[in-house]
Amino acid sequence: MAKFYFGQFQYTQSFFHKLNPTLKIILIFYLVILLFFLKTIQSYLIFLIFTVLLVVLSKVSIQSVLSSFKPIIFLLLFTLFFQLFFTPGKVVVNLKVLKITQEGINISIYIAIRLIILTMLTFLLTSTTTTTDLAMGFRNVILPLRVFRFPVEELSLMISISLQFVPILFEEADRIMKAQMARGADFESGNLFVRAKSFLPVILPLILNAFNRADQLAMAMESRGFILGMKRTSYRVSKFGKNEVIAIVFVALFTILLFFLEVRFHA
Amino acid sequence: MLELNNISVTYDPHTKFKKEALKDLSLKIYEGERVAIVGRIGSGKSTLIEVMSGLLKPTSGEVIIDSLNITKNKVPRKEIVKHISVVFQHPETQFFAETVFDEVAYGAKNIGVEGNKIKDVVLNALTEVGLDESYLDKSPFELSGGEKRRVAIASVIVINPKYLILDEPTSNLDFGGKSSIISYLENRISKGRTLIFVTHNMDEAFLLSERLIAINEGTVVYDSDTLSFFENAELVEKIGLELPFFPKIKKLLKKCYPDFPDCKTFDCIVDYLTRIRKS
Repeated sequence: MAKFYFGQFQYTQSFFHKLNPTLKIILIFYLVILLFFLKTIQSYLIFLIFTVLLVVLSKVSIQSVLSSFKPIIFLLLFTLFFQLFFTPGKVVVNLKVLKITQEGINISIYIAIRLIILTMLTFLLTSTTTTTDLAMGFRNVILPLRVFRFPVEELSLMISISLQFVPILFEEADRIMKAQMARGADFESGNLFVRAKSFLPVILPLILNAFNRADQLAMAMESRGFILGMKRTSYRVSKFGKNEVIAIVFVALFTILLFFLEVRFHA
Repeated sequence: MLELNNISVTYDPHTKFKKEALKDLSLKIYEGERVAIVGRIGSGKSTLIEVMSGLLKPTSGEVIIDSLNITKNKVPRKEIVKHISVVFQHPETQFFAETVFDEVAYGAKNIGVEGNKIKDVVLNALTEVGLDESYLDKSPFELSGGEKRRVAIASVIVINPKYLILDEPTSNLDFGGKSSIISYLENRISKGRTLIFVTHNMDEAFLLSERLIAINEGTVVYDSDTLSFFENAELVEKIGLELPFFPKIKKLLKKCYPDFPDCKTFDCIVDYLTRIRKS
């Protein structure tokens, strides 16, 4: 219970918690795309500061933000290693077999900042939006696809249920792990292969229980009148007010700032 | 001796969902005791057994099992389970192996029982819970509820822990399943082995334990002999529990017959009433 898993919704009150989920998804998606267009270190740094500011304003636990980087550390180091040593260009450090180039250093810094920002933005979205809101937001985003007979309702329901299953599965995994530990299982010692193998007695019952749970849920839904493909009304209504306007204006101003930085510093 | 000193456990300590599951709790359980831990849902029973068995590190306090401090020292799991282990609620949901043999042998392999001895220890554990050799090659998933529960118990007692904790050992079982588990527990008691069980079923607590620990809001509100606890109907009700069948009958009959004895069987009640009628 005391542990946070990546992007777990946190019950704090902030501007982001109140923001329309559809707009939140669109804005975060827009910021992610914007990030890939940046070319100067100045823009990257400003973007990083902007993202940190957003995370601080969202009032989520700092401990959870820091722990959200754990899953990407390996990916980050792996990418940095290859970029640093295998990017051709002006050699700065020559270690005979490996060469570090100026271009390699630059790209490594860009990629590191980009990955950190991406993690924080994703974290910001999921930790300030409930799974129900997230699913509703996603549904609204893909709603126009209904014109092409795309099963929007079914897909959003599937996403909503999957998201709601995540915390349940984590609790279940914790419970099964403790039960196996009570039978002497050790998940912490041994090499990578041994440790991966030791998780088999956790993963198998977890999958089995998840299937049973899904089966029960399907029956419970059907017994309450759920019919696939039926037109449904929604209990929740998306609101668009002052907060949403502020968010749009803020992101627009930020885009303009980045544009000027790019024009000013791009060689 | 199993010793818990000033145990406190706080979940989500720095959030507004902070919950103090255990508050400065201390207790000692001696070898050979039959202890029932009771309390309503959310009182801290599950947290207590996780702490006892070293599966959850307390926020403060320490757990000492036979002079081995499992809170302060990093004791390997396979050493801890030789001293204390738990059969959790609905243990059949932890099954993963294809056969009953593999399922029960898992614990034995984890603590390093040698290959040629594994079959013997598995058979011993199965016999102890009332199952025979014919179950070895069966799939644990295809057994009845009571049989599954017995296999789950066997998969823990194969380690032969000195202190065995059972969390709601008879929950979700039909009459036959319950009887088989109760008879295993009675068998264990008759051998003088330590038994610690958590239960909501007050009849089980009354019939199987000699000492009762009642937990309410993370603290011990009663820790003494079981009979005296159920004589204090006010306390039982105050902490949200109900009187077991026999103390309830006694409470009713005492109004008419002040010398009604402490009965634990129907025969005892019938004998008393027959005697009264004759006299």
